Amino acid sequence: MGNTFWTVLFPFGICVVVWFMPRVKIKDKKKTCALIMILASTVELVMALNLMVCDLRGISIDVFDVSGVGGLGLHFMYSGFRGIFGVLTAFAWFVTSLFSYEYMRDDTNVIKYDLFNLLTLGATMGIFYAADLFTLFFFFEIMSFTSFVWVAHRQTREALYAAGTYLGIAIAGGMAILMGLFIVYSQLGTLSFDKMAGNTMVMIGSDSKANITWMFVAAGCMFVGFGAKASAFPVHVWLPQSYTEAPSPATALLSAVLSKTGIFGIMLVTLDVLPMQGSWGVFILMVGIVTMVLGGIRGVMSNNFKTTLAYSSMSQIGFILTGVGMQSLLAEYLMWTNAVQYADVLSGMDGAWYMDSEIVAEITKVFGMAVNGTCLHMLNHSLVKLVLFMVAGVIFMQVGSYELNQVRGFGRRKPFLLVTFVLAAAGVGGIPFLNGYVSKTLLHESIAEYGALLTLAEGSSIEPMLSATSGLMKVSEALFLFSGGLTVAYMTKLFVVLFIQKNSDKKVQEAYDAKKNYASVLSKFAIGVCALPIPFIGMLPNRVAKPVAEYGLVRFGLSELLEQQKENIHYYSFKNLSGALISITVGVVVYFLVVRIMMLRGVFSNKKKEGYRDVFPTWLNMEKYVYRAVFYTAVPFVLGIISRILDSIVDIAVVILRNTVYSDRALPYELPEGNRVTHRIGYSMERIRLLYYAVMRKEGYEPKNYEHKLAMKGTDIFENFRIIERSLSFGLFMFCVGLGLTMIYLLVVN
Amino acid sequence: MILGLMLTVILLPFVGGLLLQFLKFKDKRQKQCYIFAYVLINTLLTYVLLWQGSTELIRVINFAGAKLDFSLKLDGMGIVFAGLVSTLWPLATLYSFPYMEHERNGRVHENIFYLFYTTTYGVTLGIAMSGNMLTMYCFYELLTLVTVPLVMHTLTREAVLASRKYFYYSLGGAAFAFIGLIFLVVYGDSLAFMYGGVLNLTQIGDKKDLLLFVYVLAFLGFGVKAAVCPFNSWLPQAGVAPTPVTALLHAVAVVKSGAFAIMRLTYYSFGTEFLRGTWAQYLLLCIVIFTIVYGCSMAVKETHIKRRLAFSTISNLSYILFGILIMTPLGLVGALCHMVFHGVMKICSFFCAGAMITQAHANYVHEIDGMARKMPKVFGIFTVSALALMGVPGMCGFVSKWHLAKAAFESGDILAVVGVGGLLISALLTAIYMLSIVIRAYFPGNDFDYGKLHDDIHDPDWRMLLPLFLFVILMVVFGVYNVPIVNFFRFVALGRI
Repeated sequence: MGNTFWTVLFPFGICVVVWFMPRVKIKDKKKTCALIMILASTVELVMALNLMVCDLRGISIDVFDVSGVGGLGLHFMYSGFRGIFGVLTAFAWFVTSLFSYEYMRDDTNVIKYDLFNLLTLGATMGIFYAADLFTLFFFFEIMSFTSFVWVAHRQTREALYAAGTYLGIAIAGGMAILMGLFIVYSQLGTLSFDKMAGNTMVMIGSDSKANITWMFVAAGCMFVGFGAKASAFPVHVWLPQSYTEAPSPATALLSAVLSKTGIFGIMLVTLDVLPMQGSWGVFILMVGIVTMVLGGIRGVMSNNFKTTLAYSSMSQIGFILTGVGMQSLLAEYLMWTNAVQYADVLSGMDGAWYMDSEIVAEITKVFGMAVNGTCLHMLNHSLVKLVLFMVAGVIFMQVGSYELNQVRGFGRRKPFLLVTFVLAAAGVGGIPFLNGYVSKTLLHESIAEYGALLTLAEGSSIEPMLSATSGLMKVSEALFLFSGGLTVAYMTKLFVVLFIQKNSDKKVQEAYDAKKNYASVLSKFAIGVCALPIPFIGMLPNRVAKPVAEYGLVRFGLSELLEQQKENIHYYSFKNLSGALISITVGVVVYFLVVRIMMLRGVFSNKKKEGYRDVFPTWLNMEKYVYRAVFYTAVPFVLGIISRILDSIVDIAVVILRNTVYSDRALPYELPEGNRVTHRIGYSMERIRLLYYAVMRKEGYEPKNYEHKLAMKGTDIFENFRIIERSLSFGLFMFCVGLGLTMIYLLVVN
Repeated sequence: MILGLMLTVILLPFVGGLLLQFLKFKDKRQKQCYIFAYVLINTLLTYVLLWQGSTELIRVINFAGAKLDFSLKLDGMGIVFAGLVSTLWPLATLYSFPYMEHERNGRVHENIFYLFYTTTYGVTLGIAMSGNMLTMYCFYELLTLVTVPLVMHTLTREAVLASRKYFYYSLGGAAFAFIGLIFLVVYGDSLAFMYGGVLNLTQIGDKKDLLLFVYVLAFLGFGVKAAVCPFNSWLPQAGVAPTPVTALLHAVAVVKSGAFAIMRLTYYSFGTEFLRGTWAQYLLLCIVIFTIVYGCSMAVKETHIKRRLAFSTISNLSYILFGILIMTPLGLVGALCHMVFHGVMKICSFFCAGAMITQAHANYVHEIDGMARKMPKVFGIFTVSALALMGVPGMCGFVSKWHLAKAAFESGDILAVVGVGGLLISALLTAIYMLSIVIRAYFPGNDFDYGKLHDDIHDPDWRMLLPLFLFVILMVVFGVYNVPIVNFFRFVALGRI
């Protein structure tokens, strides 16, 4: 009996145990913690597998409803795709916790690390089993915050810097998703994945353009958030530093699982929020292409082992996104041609065009390829990156650095390392008979076949309805093969550095050669388990890869499409092999041009430095010169000015009022001599005289001291007046005045 | 009976505070027991009152004319506000005891401080229980008067300046609110709070624009206490007051009184029917959305922890006002949610900041590097409150943000949708200014020397920690399971209680 909810909740429960670890008296806490981790992830793996087994046996796994939590309630569900990625997540945690046993042995903060590791596990499971967008967002946010601790774990200056960028982009992305969530909820009235696509289709059918625009805004917002986690092009800037700074097991998880949560989100947006919208597909396709080319170029040019792998991750995500874009484009094509099935949607629009069922079947087949290829490449990439990042961890444990010049020659005479690394590197490079070849072939085929399908539509009424043009498809195909070549190039670079070339320092090389116990059995087991499936998927594509992918898709709601696609694909036909050959040729050329000539010989750059150098121009650092510059300097500066002005408006008003209407009376100013009247008159007379001299252009102005003179006069008058005031005659004078007034009064009044 | 109880809870804190001046206590412990006892009794009495409830208008005194009377009422909105205030006050009082022992001047004017501190309790309850505009206006002015001495408490130059500014701003604002009161007397059927408004539309005739202008004036007048930009600069400055004052008054009681008054003004006096879709709504929405972003931006720039939180308050108060200005019942639900939840979150983060000040004398952000190892409980709680303020799902901040955004989208106004964008930008900035503190405390960098921290820095005693733990529980409970309380708000917002 499987239950999605308990599978999600279980790691959170174990967290409580780990939380109390520092408070319990146990001899070896670190070891106990590591064992708890291994145990917990094993149990989690069993639970996830149990869900899958239940489903395969036909026991239905109901939607689990935790009502009321967080307002809307959390809902969990199971489907094939979710099941596969749930198992993959638990598996990734299982192998990395095995690997961490050795890797984190000397770490002082291992309990903190394990605590947040478990929280992230629970949150990731929550994302994959979420039944509605709200639940997904809920766990997505938790995952963003808890995985921050991974990146910041080493607490070096660089790690904290990288963690700052990681958190900033994660939070901004989370907010963007939330905005998209609000819009979707207000437009569709539901966030449940089951109902969203249907509601959108009804909306398209009713042909309300404004609402569709809102849906595009929502999808764009969500793309920012999910794309940030997946490291899609404009929001990938956190990736190189964070991947490099996090401990290797954590990087393996970031690359293998966390990036897939972003892809999962984008897939849901593509399939449920904007189903059959080809223009969205073109957007995703373009983003995917830019991401894969850019990631590939930077991967080739980096001189750091782990950073190369980080960019490789970005590039592969680009491949996956290309597949997602193709799905959307093909779905659009399918909608326009398969008018019977989508009659109610199309009835509201002009130009519906019905083609014969053979072409519909052809489109369906290509669509299935795109979906299969995307799903399979996600799986392949996860496996490969688990291996590669754990190999990087082994190197770091022994060498203490990821610099190519330092790790040079480390892998010589280490057969286990050689086999696993080659399997993974060649696997992701798309070498035939390994797993990457299968998925890349599917993706490549879907692009090429779609281009062919587009020519079919030429001249028909359906042509203006389709969003992609055949030119775009040709460019996409070329860049797809080119990026495949880049993958080959940077993987060759790493291979040559590790296993062929000798270290420039002979003593170091001898020390490397002498190292036989470079990894514990547990670590080797972890790496080996991940590397094992790689050749199987590649050699038996129709036995292994296809059922796995189909299991994911049947439960993805696409079963009726796959009914029509029974025949096997001939992976090792000449047509398909030629694509791989082109990529490999490009890879070899790029390797010799860039790595051997530019990086190693130092053409076009500083020649003094020995060995490999980073040839990517530093001024192209988007993170530093675009994001940080804008958000740390430009925006705060502008906002700061506005804020300052507004902040002081009232204060300015108060000051102005105080200095004008409400000004205090001036303090009495003690004049040295005379009084105010004499002072004023004297001062003005002096000024007038000065003015007179100036106007008349007379020479020889000398101040006449009117003020002083008047003051003396004034004092005289004042003195005299006072004397008079005191005298008898003054009394008589006043009496006379009084009599006079009385007389006037009598005369006037009477 | 109910009237007596109402007057009791308003006056008891004042009387208790007065008696405090004359009673002789053996030691400070006894005094603290006395203070806590009467605050707690008052809270219990308030709970009894809330349980009973009385939506009827109770006239106490009638001044000249039929419209002008002093009347009390306890409807749903009042219950929410009174419930919030009466729950937080005893906890804050408990917290203030150890805090005031550390505070400069704390011992000298302690009795006076507690007189005003508790009197404010009664006055705030008075605002919550006012039955009409006049009564509320009286209590509102009274609130300014009794809180000024609290801001001035330390008697430093800064404090005197801050209190003076606070005083001017509040009185100025009240004057604008008074204009609104006068117009309500002239153009309203009565002054009493009635859901849906009391304006007499026939009497208004073609003077609608004038009335809207008056509404804008009154809104901004009450908005001074709710720190609407550009009337906000008193709030960060008032942070010089002791933390219990800043936390309780400037994060909950005073500023929420402003927001509460605006709710009354909008939904119970002018009425949303009259205001919805007018230029007044849009103008105020613009101001409020700007304040949301502005407060956060300033908080990011500020390095003084308490002032940073004060700027954060400015932004969050405008969330409430934003909810009010959507002018639908759903918007009011969002506003009420945020009024209550923000009260809890902000008082919690302020109390943590206070604990940092008393225990470690850390006033600025850069002074708390690596402090989490010394004060694990305080920083743990601070982290929770930071996450809640950011609106991480599962915490209460998310719930109110959710309801606000939902209301905004359902209202269909394009400006409201812009406001949601503002909310999200603000959430992002909140993450920056709150988490930068948290990260500094937990991840000071591997070259950080823990020996630099004093050995005597440790978590505060239970009187400070107990309120903090209760707040954390409230934040999580409201965040995880909030159906009953949100339903209650919904009833209030529909005018059913």
